[in-house]
Amino acid sequence: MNLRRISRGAAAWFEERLGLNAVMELLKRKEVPQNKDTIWTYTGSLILLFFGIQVVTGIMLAFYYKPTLELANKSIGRIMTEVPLGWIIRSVHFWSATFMIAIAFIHLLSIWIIKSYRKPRELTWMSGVFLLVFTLAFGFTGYLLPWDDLSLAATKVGTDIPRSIPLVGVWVTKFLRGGDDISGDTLSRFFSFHISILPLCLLAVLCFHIYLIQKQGMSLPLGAQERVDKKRALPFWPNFVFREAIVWLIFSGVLITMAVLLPPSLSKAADLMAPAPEGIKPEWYFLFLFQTLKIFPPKILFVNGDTVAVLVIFAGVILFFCLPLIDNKPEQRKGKFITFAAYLFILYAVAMSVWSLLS
Amino acid sequence: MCVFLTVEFFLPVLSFAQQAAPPAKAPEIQAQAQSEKIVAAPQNIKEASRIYVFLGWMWVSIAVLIYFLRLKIKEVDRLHEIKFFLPDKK
Repeated sequence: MNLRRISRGAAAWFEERLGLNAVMELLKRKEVPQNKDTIWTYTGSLILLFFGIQVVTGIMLAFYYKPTLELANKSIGRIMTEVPLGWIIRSVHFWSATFMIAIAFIHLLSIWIIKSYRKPRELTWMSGVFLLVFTLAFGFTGYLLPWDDLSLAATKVGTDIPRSIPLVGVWVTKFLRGGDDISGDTLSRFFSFHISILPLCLLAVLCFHIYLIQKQGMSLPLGAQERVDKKRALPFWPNFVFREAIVWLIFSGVLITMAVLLPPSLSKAADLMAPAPEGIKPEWYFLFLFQTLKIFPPKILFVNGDTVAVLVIFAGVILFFCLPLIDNKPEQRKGKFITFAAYLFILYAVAMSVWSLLS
Repeated sequence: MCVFLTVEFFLPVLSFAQQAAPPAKAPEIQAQAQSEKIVAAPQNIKEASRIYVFLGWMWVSIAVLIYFLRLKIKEVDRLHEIKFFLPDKK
């Protein structure tokens, strides 16, 4: 039997039923502009790479993990000590989460600075903000699952923060915890969020986000639209894909190396009755928010300081979400100020994170 | 060549995955382990050396793959340029 004939026959059989040639033609026609900002286009696909790694390693961990008070910590201990290479799988999952969140922040900040959210890409930005929120929620819910002292204390602090929101705060905290206090219900609830609700929500928004990018094409830098140099646009397939493959290989190598050389340890099982450890801090991606909450005084004009802090942060998120609508004339003075605000935000986040680490 | 290198990349991982699980520890050791911090590490010197050899092998494979990808990128970029500068075909 001629192997080439068999493979052509199989391809024709699938093409008749799936019609995937249209997708391949779209990929061949798709172009990526080449300019000083092209390097930032690699961040989007990198987030996808790390999300894929999270899904695969997460499924492997879920084979052994047990989301109950008595067995959560023990099952992770078993993964690390008894399951062959279980400690590496857990380490890859841990580091991939860190990389994914870091690159999500870089992706979003780069879009902010180069203003890729300009018309008609406002919805792409807004869906991207949702994706960032879901990614942070993944980190928050996953942090509790080892059920050790640190994760319990961090979750107590994290789920207590919404309590300060007027009217709905107490309800939100009860919803997150599955009751007034952290318990076994909180663990199973966070596990459900982590492995089913959040992946479904993220996948739905991700499909919408990718659809918009394919429909509208890649954006050009501000001021480049009138003098677009068509010679400098690269075909997505195969020119850009081969370049992305190099980036993926390097980052995968760095991920596996970090996972092997710096694996996370596991503390003893959490004790619900024990007080929180001294100097408790959240994961690095929440440090700047945590420190922001700490710098507010207990009372501001007869209003609870925590309430003001939460409302200020919430207002900041809303502004962030509506950025393309606010920055509707990016080439004017307002647009330049918003770009400057992006650099200020980076400086603020780094400074607050370092302050939190050192305090 | 790329297929060969990619398959070879995964073979050590598969062989690691087929490693037999160590026998269950005695209850006293398990209880002690559960009360202390568990540090993630290779379980014995053999596993440690296999993992470090795999890391080295992985980076060599990545370097080789990147070399071939760069050759392919030069080739497809050149093809793209030539097609652009050619007059329109009838």
